[in-house]
Amino acid sequence: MISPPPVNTEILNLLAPLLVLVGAGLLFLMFGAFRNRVGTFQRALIVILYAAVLFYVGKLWNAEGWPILNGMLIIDRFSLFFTAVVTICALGSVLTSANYLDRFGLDRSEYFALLFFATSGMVVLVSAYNLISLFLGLELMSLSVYVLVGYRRRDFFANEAALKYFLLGAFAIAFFLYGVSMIYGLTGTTNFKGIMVEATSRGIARDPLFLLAVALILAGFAFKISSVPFHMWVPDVYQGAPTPITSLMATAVKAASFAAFLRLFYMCFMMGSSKWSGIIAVLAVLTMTLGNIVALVQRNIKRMMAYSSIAHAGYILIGLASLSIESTRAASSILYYLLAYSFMTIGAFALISAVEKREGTRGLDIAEYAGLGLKKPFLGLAMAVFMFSLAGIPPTAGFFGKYYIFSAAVEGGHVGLAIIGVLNSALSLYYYLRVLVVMYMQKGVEPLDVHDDLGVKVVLLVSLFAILWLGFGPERLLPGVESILEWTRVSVAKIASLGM
Amino acid sequence: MEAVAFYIIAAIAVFGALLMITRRNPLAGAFSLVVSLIALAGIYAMLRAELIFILQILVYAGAIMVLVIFTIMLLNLREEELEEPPAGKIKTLIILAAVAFGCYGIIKVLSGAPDEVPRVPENFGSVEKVGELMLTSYLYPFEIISVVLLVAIVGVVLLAKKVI
Amino acid sequence: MLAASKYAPVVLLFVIALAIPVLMIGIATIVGPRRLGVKKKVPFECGTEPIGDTRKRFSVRFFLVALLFIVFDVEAVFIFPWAVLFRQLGLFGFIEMAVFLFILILGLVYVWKKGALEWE
Repeated sequence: MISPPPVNTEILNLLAPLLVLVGAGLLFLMFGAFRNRVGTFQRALIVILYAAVLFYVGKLWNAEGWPILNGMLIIDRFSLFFTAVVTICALGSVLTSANYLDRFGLDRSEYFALLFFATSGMVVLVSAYNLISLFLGLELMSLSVYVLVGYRRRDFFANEAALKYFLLGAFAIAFFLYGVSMIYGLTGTTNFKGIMVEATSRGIARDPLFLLAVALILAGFAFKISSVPFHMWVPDVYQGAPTPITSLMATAVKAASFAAFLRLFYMCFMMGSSKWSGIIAVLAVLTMTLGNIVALVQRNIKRMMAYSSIAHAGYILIGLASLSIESTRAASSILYYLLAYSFMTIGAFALISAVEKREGTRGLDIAEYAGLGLKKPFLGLAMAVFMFSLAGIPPTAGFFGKYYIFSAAVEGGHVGLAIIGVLNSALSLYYYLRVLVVMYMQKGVEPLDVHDDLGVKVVLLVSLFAILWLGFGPERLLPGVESILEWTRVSVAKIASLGM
Repeated sequence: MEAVAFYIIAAIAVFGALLMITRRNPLAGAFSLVVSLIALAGIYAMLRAELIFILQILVYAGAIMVLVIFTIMLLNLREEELEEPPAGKIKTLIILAAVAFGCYGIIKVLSGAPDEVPRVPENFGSVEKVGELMLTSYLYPFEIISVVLLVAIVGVVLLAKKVI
Repeated sequence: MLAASKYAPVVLLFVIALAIPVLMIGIATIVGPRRLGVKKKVPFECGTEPIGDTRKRFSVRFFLVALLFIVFDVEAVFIFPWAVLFRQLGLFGFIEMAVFLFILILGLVYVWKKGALEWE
C-alpha cells in the first residue's frame, strides 16, 4: 500500500489564492463554451475574484512559511508579496481590457479565462521551491500569454508577435530545462534546499557542468525578463500584443520571473560564489544601456515602452548583481523596485490603450499624443507622473526605487554599476520627457478621441496614487513605505536563512 | 558490453540528428529525426527508464512526428521552393561543438571536481515507481500539468480554428 | 545484465521487423523477372487509373485535429502509470486522478461546444 500525500485543510488554506485563480479560470472557460459575450455580471465577478485573491494573501500574511507538499512550494512572505503584485497587475490589465476588447471586437470569456490561468501560473512560479514546480509555473504562465499575444487573430502584427514569442520562448524554456536536467544529474535533487546543500558540500559547484547548467538557467530567465542579449523579441511582441496584454507582460510576467530568478539564485547559486555577480553585472550594463539608447529613436509608443521595459530590467539586474549573504538590502530593493515599476507601467499602458484605435495610424505614434495634455487634463497629469516616475525624478516611486537599488549596489561594492545606472537614468529622461513635450506643447492636427472609460480611469487613479504614495506616503494613512520596505526585508531575510 | 551498446545507440542518435539538419527535403529530415528519437528511446531503455522509453516511442516518434509530417504536407513545398542547406555553416557548427567538448574535458580535469554522481534508487524509472512518485511526492506538479494541458487545448481552439 | 535480458524481446522484434522488408524486397529483386513498361511505371493506386497530381496540399482542418490529438495523447500518458498502480493507491489516488481528469474534461467540453471536433 502506498501512503497518501500529506494534504489537509491547513495546506488547502495555504493554497487558497492559487485555487481561487484556477477555479476562476475554469469558470470563465465554461462561460466561454456556453455563451460568447462578457456581460456586466461577469466583469464584476472577475474583479471580485481577483479581490478575493488579494484578501487571501492578506489572511495568509503571517503564515509560517515552510515548504509544503514535500517541498514542492513555499507560501512565505516573499511568495505572498509577489502573489499580491501579480494580482494587482492582472487586475490592472482586466480593468483596461473591457473597453479595449469592445472596440477591437475581441470580447470573449476565454480571454479572461486565459488571464486567470496566466496569473495562476505566476503564483505557482513565485511560490516554487522545486525546479519542477518552477518549470511548470513558467510554462503555465508562458503558454497562456502566448495565446493572449496572438489573440487578435486577423491582425498581421499579432500573428508575427505570437509566432516570434512562442518560438523564441520555447527555445528559452528548452535551455532552461537542459540546465535543470544537468543540475538534477549532478545533485540528484530538484529541491532548492537540496541543491543548495549538495552544491556547497561536495564540491559540485566547481564542476564545469554545474557552471554550464547555471548559465543555461540564467539564459532561460534572461529571456523572460527581457535582458540583453535575449531581448530581440521584446519590441515586436509588445507592439503586436493587445495593449492590456502588453501591460501584463511588462509588469506581472516580469515581476513573477524576477521573483523566481531571485529566489533560485539567492538560495542555490549565489552563495559563496561571486562569479555570477560578475556575469549578471555585465548583463545589467548591456541591458540598460541598449534599452535606453534604442528607446531614444522610437516613434511608436508601444515600442518605446518595450525598450523602456528592457532598460528597467537592466536596473533590476543591478540589484541582483549586488546580492550578498551579509545584507538583505539589495534583494529587498528589487522587491520595492518591482512594485513601483509595476504601478507606473500599468498606468502608462492603460493610457496607451485608451488612445489606441483600430484603424488608420492606430493611435500609437507618439506624434498623435499632441494636444492630449490640455484637452484631457487628468490624463495629461497622470501621464506626466508616470513618465517622471519611469525616468526616476523625485518625489515619485520611480526615484526611490532607483535610489534603493543604486545605494545597495554601492554598499555591495559595485560603485561602477551605480554610476552607469545613474548615467542611464539621465539618458532616459530624454525620451520620457519627449512624450510630455508632445502632449503639452504641440497642437494636435486630428481631433483626439480618447476612450477613457471607468476602468481606465480607476487604473490611472490607483497607479497615480500608488506612485505618489510609494514616494512619500505617510505611515499614518496606510502601511507606509517604511513598512513595505520592512516587509521586503523580512521576506528576503527568510530566503537567505533557509539557504543557510 | 553496456558501454559498447551505449556508444552504438548514441552514434545513431547523433547521426540521425545530423541527417535531419542537412537534408534538403523536409520529409527526409523528418524521418531522420525519427531515427534519432528512436535511438534516444534506446538510451532511455539502457537507463532502465521504462516509462520514458515507452513514451518516447509512443508520443515523440509517434504522435509528434505525425504532427510534424502533417505540417510538412500542409505547406507542401515544391522542389524549387526549397533552400540549399548551408553546408559551410554546419561544418563550422560541428567543429565548434568538438571544441566545446574539448574545453569541457580540460576544465573538468583541471578543476578537480568529483566524478561521482548520486546513484538512483532501485527500480527507478519503472512504471510503478514513477506512478508512485507522481501521485504522492509530486502531487502538486501533477495537478498543475492538467491545467497546463487545458491551456494548450484552449490555445489550439483559439488560434487554429477557423471560426470561433 | 538485467536490462539486456529484459529488453531482449524488444530487440528481437526490431531485428525481425527490419529483416522482413529487407528479405521481401531483396528476394523479389533477385528472383523476380523484370519486364518494365509504361503501365508499370505509373504510381500504384489500388488498380485504378491515377488522376491528377499526387502532391496535393493537405487541408488545414487536419491540423486542428492533429493538435488536439497530441494534447489528449499526452493526457493519456499520465493516466498510464496511475492505472498500473490503481489497486495500491486506494481512494486518494482515485481522487487525485478525478481532479486531474475533471480539469481536462472541462477542456473537452469546451472543445466540443466550440465545434472544434466538427468538420467545418
